[in-house]
Amino acid sequence: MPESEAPPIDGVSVEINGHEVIARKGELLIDAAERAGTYIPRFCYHERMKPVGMCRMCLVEVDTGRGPALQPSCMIECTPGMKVDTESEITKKAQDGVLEFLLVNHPLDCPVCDKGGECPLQDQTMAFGPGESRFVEEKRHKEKPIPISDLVLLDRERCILCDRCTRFAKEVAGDPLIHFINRGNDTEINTFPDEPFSSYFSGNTVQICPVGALTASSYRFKARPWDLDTTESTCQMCSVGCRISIDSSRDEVQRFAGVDIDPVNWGWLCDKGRFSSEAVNADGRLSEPLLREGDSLIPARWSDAIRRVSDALAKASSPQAIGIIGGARLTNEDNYAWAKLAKGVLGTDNVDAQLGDGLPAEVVLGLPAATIDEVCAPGGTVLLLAPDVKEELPVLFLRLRHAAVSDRVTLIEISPRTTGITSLAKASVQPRPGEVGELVRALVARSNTDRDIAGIAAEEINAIRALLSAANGPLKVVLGRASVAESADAVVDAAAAVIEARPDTRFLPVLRRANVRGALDMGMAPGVLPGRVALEDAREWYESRWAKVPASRGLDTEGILRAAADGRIDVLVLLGADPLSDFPDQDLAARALTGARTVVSIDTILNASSRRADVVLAAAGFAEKAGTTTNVEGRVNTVSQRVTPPGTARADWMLATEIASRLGVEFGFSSPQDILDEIGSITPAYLGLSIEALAASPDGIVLPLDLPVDELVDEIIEEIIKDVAAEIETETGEPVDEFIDVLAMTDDDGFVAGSTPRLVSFVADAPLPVPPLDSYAFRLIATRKLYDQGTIVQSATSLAPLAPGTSLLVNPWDLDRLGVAESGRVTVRSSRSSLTLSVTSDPGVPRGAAALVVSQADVRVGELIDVGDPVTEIRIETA
Amino acid sequence: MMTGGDPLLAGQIDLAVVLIVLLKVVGIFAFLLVATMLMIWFERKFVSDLQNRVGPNTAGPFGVLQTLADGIKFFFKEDLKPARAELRVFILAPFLTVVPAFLLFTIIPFGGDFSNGHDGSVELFGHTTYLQLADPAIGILFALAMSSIAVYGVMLAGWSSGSKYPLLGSVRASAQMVSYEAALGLSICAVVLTTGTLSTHEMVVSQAGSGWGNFVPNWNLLAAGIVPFVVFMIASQAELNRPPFDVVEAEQELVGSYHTEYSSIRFALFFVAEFMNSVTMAAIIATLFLGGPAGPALFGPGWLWGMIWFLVKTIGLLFIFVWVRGTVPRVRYDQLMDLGWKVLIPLSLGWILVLATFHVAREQNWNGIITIVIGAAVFLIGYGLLKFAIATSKARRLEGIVD
Amino acid sequence: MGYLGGFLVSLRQIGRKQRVTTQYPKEKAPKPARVHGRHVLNRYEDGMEKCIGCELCAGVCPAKCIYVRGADNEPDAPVSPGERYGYIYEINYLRCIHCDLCVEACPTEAITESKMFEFSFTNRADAIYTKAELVVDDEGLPQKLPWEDWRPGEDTQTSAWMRATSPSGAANFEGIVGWSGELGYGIRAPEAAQDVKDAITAKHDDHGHDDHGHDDHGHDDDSHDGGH
Repeated sequence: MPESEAPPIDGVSVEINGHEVIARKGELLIDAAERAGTYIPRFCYHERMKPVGMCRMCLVEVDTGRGPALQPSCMIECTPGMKVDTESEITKKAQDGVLEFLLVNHPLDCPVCDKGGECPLQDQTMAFGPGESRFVEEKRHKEKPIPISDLVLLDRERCILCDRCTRFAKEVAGDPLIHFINRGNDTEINTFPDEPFSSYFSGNTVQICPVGALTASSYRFKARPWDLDTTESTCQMCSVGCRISIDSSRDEVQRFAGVDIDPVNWGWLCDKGRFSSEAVNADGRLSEPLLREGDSLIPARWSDAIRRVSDALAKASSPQAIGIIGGARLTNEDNYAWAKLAKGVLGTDNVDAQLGDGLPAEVVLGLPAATIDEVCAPGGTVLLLAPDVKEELPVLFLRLRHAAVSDRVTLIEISPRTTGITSLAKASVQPRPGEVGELVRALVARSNTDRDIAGIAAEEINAIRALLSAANGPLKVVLGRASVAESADAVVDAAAAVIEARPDTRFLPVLRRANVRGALDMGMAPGVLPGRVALEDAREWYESRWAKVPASRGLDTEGILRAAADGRIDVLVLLGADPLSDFPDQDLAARALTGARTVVSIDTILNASSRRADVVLAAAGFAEKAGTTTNVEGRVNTVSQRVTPPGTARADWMLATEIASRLGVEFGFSSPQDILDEIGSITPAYLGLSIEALAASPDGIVLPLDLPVDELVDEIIEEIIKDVAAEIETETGEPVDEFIDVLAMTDDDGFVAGSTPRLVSFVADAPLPVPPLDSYAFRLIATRKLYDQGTIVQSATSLAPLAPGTSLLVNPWDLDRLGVAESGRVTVRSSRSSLTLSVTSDPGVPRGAAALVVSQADVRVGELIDVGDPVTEIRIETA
Repeated sequence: MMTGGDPLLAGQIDLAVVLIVLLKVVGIFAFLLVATMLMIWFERKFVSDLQNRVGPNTAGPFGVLQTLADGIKFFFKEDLKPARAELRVFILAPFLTVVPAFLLFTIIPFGGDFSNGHDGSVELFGHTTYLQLADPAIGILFALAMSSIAVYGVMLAGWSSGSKYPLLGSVRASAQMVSYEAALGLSICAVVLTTGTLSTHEMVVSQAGSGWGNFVPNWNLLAAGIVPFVVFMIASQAELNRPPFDVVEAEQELVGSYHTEYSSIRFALFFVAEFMNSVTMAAIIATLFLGGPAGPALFGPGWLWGMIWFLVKTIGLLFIFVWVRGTVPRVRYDQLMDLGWKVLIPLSLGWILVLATFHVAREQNWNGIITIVIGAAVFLIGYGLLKFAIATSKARRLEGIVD
Repeated sequence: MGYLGGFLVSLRQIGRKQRVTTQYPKEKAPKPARVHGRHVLNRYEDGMEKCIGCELCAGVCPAKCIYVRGADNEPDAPVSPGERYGYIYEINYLRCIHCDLCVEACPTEAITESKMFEFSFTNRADAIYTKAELVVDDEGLPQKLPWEDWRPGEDTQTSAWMRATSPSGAANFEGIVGWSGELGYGIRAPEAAQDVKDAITAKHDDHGHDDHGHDDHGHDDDSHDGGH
């Protein structure tokens, strides 16, 4: 089984059906045959799981020197001199026999089975089967189908006992909730009593099941394969950027399926991404712009709505009075257009794609980067300073799990509370919130420590220090904002400590939202311009290519919201952003929305913030527009359009282009490709990106490309000169023979061809002081769960009821100390506000801390948080 | 013999005379229209019967009103005038075909008692008159003249349409009609020779008596010989553009030929003109060869019997016309021209010679047998010469020598 | 007779008895038994619909004129026997070419064609026949819409095509009736020229609630694939 695509070092020569085939070393016979063009039928074998040889469908006649014998080709590796015959009489008899057996009890459900038309059992029976069955007796009967979770239905009659689902659940997902029960003729797949198959990855079993035994309840009976049109795209539910295929019928998205690309997701999808297909066509999708009249939002014409926005922007008192929040919902092209509008036309640098719940842009863009493959490189050591990846970036969790379980990767976890990956980590500590910087400094220090830091015992710290020192090769750090109840400064401090102590460390900054990385790359953050360049470094570069650039560095989201609350913001644009729900400090967000003079919300569906906006523009959502997106690694891949947007909703880049046009600047964008061309020719980190390059790399392209950038720019300029000369020649009919040697021009000539500006690099601040410890208070930990009250999850009918809600999670020791009973009611009081809710004991929460899950129904965690404080301290009282 | 002339117009022309003429005009006009309508219906029904089908049976009893329905339909159609058409001539042309059709009927005696030596006149409001609109001295030549004008109508229709197919069609049509008019005229010559008068009234009178062996009536059918009758029948079909000589109108050949660009009532006029001409031509044949209204008046008013005989003969001829239409396939254009020029014209010419010889021989009391032998010999030599001429020209044509 | 013989030939055609015209639409020429006309959705003898919403007809239709969507049967009010029924079933007769591939493809003999093809509508909306219009009524007869020209006898023969061509091609099943009963008619007799050695009545009462595995003739899906 391939690990992470190792290049073939040696070849093994085998003979398949009389032809010589060079297999890779250690390659399974079934894979070698398929690569050579001979398809061997199989049911239980899956390329991404260990083979078990259960179905016996891949039996072929193999002669390894002792005479021909039937062997399961998925279990044997190619050995030199092997002779394989996949078409002999015996092989055919075996295939006939296996299929006849499988069909003995397989119900004649094909017309009503969701898998019909795309069913490996059907296809292989047609291609390899006997044609007639001798079975005339009665087949076995079981109640069908039974729901084994909220999302997956099981039909036990159809199951051919191939074990793919159990192997996936156990080996890949780590949730062994589904298994064979009974034996003999009664063997069936089932879940444990009272434990449904509520894994975050249950949808994958539906996709890999070779028959219609496991089906998705959201897709049940919706369509047939011949109704569907398919496009490949990239999932936009988190920033891992799994490759998916979108199936639609009659202009409605029906489902998503995972596509296997090696560097990212290996064909797996999490259930949130997979079943968010229902959200595309949800009720409540905005199909026309809305303008506020009094208390309500009235549908308006596009020309009126855009004019309101452009007038408001034109009348803003200064560029600093404009603020733009958002960009993670947008594609790279949308983001570039908005960045150009904001920074190049309006001249404001108050742009931030994050909602105060991530990391500063310079950290994300400037730290030396690692790809997921590099993080999971066999034998390495990974330090996780990240949120619970199983909740926020599930497929990244699958990759890390695989690395830890199969590739001897050492995981060291530092998180505010235990996570889904804790059981896989070699070491896992939960420091006090706000003190992780000090802890990490001790972990990378040159010598052991002798004191407890952040609530962790010195011995433990030293043990981890030893692990880190013993790391094989450069350390990899997965860096993210684990808890929004504390500021990002602590984890940035930790990163600074690591890179100072070990300069060869590589980071994978995991920001959660879909294209937030792409937004930052495209300059949707204060102090940066498109292409991962700092404002000051790239000022000249962009001044010659855009109309202008902002005069000075602007505000991030927290700054914009504070300015808005103070009344200094005339126009607040929310690009798919919902500060009221997502900004950690709810009070500040509410005051900001009230304080800003005009609030413009550009979104696909009404959310809490857009309900308070003055202008709502209907945007096209996922699967309704084409473009590119960038994932956590900085890998760019395409998103495709599969269906038409509802009503007159438009892509965000169109809105930016039109607003710019009203303000007097023509962008000249008439398609996402135009924008991609501009991105590929102007933005430093993305130079060389083109639609052809993307088409040639279905796995995506990690940027920046390893190109000689300066020469590339010179090439581009030469091309332009040649084109212009050719045009002049055709128009005037005279040859152009005098060229100004543009490339030799210098700044004195007034023309800046210039070399590309350098990319952002991370500069550490001074180490932070540790917040003083108040032993009567608890420090709040605010984490996320995969299913929450986010708009897309709530729009998907099968996912909406899965949001679990939250209670206050406290360490049992603290519960005793407080004298509160398990599941009692408590009042939580912070400097801002208070909440009353139930309490649950959780040993994964460290002592002195209490955890809440954000964005769940009825518990408004944001009311407790004040972003000005480095940590949120709360007092807990019995209610 | 009288030299013709309607007694009505011999005396003073007063109001009664005018009214009688008007009455005849209206009567003939109405009769022709109704006759055309019924002729079309008859043709459609009879041809259907020959083709084992039913024909029109929905509009009116037995589909009699089908033509009326079609006419009304034509009125409601869009009247197209092609941009390249020569407009005045375009509008004139249908009338040039229709009007002669009406005018042709003016010289035809359609009633009157010719039996027992009566001259077929009737008393109307105190005036004696023939039952025909006019009886000019030129008589049958008027008919020939009118059919020549009809050729103008066809030719101008095609040319003025400003389009290729109509032009081609009209050229062919005019060539066809002109060629067969010669044959037509020559047969009429034979009749005139026999009856000795051009006036139609006189012709009828001369046929009213007894002919051969006092047994059969003195019809020109027999008196002038069967040949002019046959030639006239064939030539009249060609003159009328009826099948089997309808290559002019054949849709497989020329779309619609001269009436391609016509629509609505103008087209209807062509259509009507063709059938009206058929009726009239049948009437002329009846007059020339079958004695017209002449026939025994059995009981009741004699003039009515004249009409009845006239109608019987005309309808019988129309029956033959339609029968021929339903049976014989279309003649190819070159075959058509061959037939007209190389067969009918020499034949009728020859027959005139024979007839003339016969008449002179009878007057001059030549020896009958010698006359017949020499006549036959000359006939045969003439025939032989003609054949030789045709063969030579064909051989030369095949060799490529332009003659 | 030469040229003139032809005239007698045409004259001989005169006569009412020799006219071959059919006065359509007052009288119609008799339609062959398996003429392809308007479709109907059949029902079992107990009234349940045969259509299981499997979309095989839509998939095979070369004119793409059928739109089907399946849905789960309500447990207390099932429309069809089994899990799935045709929730949406529409045929667009502006596109239908009456090839009857859908009749061939249907696994439950739900869709068959009647002999009535004289239905002209005056607007496009009428052209799209919904399930309510296609399903047979409670007597098993096709529904008669206002613009359709049904003649006596035409509405009783709606599945002749299917009964003429089934059962499936395996030689073992020749002569054995292989179709299920229809509402209002029970098990219909086979086509005239076929021999019925064994009519299956008792076994067909159970129209296979979950699967057709009960049948030991003719409906084995296995024989659909591959081997003949």
